[in-house]
Amino acid sequence: MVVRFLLISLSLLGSRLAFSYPNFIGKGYHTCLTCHYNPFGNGPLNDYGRGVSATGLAGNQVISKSVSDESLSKRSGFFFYIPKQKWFRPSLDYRGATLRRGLQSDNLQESWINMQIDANLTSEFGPNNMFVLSYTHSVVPSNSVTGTQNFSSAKPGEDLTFSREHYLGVRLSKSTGIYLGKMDKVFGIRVPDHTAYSRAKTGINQYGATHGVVLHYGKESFDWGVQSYVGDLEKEKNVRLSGASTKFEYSISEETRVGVSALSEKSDSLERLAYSFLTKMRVGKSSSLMFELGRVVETPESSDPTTQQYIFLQNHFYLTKGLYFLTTYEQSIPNTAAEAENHRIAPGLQYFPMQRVELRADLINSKSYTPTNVSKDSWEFLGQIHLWF
Amino acid sequence: MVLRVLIIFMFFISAESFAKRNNKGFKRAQSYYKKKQYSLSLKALRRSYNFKYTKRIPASALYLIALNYQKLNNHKRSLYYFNRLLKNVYLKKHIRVLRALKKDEVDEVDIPKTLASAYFYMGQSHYAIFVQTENIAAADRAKKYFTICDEIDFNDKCSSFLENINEKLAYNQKKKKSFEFFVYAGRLIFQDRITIESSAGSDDLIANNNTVCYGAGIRRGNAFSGLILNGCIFSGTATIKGIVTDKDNPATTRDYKQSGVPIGGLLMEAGYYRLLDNEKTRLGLSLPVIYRSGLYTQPTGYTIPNAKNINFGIMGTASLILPYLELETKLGHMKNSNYLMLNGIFTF
Repeated sequence: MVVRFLLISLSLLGSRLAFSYPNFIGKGYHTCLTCHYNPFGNGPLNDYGRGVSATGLAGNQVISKSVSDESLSKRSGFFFYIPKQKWFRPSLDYRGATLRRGLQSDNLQESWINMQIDANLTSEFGPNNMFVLSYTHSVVPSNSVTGTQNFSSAKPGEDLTFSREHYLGVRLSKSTGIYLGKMDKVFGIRVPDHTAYSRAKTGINQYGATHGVVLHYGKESFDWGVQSYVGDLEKEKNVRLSGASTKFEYSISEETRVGVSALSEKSDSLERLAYSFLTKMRVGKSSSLMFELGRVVETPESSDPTTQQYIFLQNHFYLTKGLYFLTTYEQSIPNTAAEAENHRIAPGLQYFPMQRVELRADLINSKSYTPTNVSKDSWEFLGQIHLWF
Repeated sequence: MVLRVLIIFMFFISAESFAKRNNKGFKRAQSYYKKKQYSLSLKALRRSYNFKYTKRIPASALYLIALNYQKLNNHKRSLYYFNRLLKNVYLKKHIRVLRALKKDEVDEVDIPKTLASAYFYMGQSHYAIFVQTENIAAADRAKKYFTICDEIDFNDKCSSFLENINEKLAYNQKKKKSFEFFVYAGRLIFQDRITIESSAGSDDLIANNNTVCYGAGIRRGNAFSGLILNGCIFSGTATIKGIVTDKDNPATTRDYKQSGVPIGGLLMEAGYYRLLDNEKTRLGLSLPVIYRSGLYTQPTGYTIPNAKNINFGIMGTASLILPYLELETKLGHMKNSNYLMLNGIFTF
């Protein structure tokens, strides 16, 4: 019922992105806070970000030439306009995917996954709108829940309803802010590909948000954040990972931003230490390169630590306004003491035909190379539709 | 004496009537020009003046002749008469303007309106010749005249013409095809099939090959697209595994596995690419041919016939052109094989 309501609402209402696309350093955007309420990206867009998504990022092929950028920007709000008041900014977000596994084999598996059904309300208030209050409620149908998520509210086989994000932020000054609540961990490049090794290995997947406090200090040339967290309070106590993470990014030129991040966390059954080096680079007028090299040391209870390593490399090629060609290459070494390696390469297309709509298609080739075993390469097709209002 | 006076008188009378006739012709030509009847305008001028002797043609008529030719798209003739105008009437001024142009002081020279106008139209004629022939000298001349016009604020269009010429020159430069030589090094990872045969039959084994590749290549293209030919030698190790029919008992099978098998080979590609986004990204398709050789162990009674193998297929390339280096990712599919390459390319 909730799902139906959300889907109907999606088709009727206005606009808000609820994800982060760091590739748009290719458009000259270095810092997340320019477009997002959250200084480290993800979550709802602010008014400026909505305007940019409508005019700078979305394609204009299906829009009449008589419609000006100014007009598009004005229409980018949830109610097809941007109200003067800042205290009421609702949004809805849906992301669905068709996944076809086992291409090139006799065992083709097809499935539809409702990855994201979110409703968000964000409010800015106080002197100079220094306070930000944001709440994102999420529903994941039971057939789309992957793995064991350990949410207290949902038993296996049930639809999952949870808060994807909620926080109160205080911008003490233009450069400093404190955020208290449930947020994604401040670590690495925040890409929307939640199955990327850089996110899966570090536990920063679509269910990886945690309760804590984030301190952000940033200027035009850099962003620094530190987060202390106690784990996701919506999850069972024994799996809550508490700890701290930090990230520092610095723009060494107008085109290039480099950074480092580190994370240390612990639960009753696992201890994890992760660190990474990252870079984002603008290439050409609107293309980009993102690279992250990270290591994760995991120590399960009463076991020896295992060091994993990952590489995330994504090219984002501008083809025409709204249309991009992507190549994602990833490498994962599950144990640096062993010789096994996993490789994944995914050429794909990303298309924003208009504001509020994103289409993406990726062909994924996965290779698993170990000295002890040989497995066939796997081919998958992932087609996504993303609607935001 | 009377005769001399009569001759002088007759000369004045005939000169006056000649001038009157010419003036009528000129006015008629002007009228035709205004009606955009440029051929008729020229005809009227030709009746009044001998086009061969430009020194005898007044400045206004020369100017009108040149304009008519320009309107008739005869730019060479138009430029000829404009040049005659410059030489016959404005030579000193013109030289002064050109000197000032070199010193970037054109705005300090008082340029008569007709001369300024002539520059503007000469710029247009040279521009038209440049567009038709892509002649760089014509572009340079057009730029010279439009620069003068722009400096003295003669016409707003001058700066637009200048921009247009620069864009066209840049575009023409980009269209020029040239050769590029490059070297590259990277990682080549691929999976292929090894056939193992015995008296009981043949079976396929899967081989995962992990190699390093060193190569070089050549491109022939412009700033938009081109053709590419490259090749690399590779070496590394392979892990092989599969189920093999027992040669002594065909009803049963045995596991076959081998690690660290030395392999090497040669990969050649010929393809087409397009440069996108300010020539900073490259997307391509190529037809690769790969020769691979491996030192696989052949158990007694078994043979591996394709230890040396040639394979071919199709490969897609995406690369980013970074400062000093090009970062390339490739994904290829050949018969029973998938290829992944990550290369760093240095172009000379």
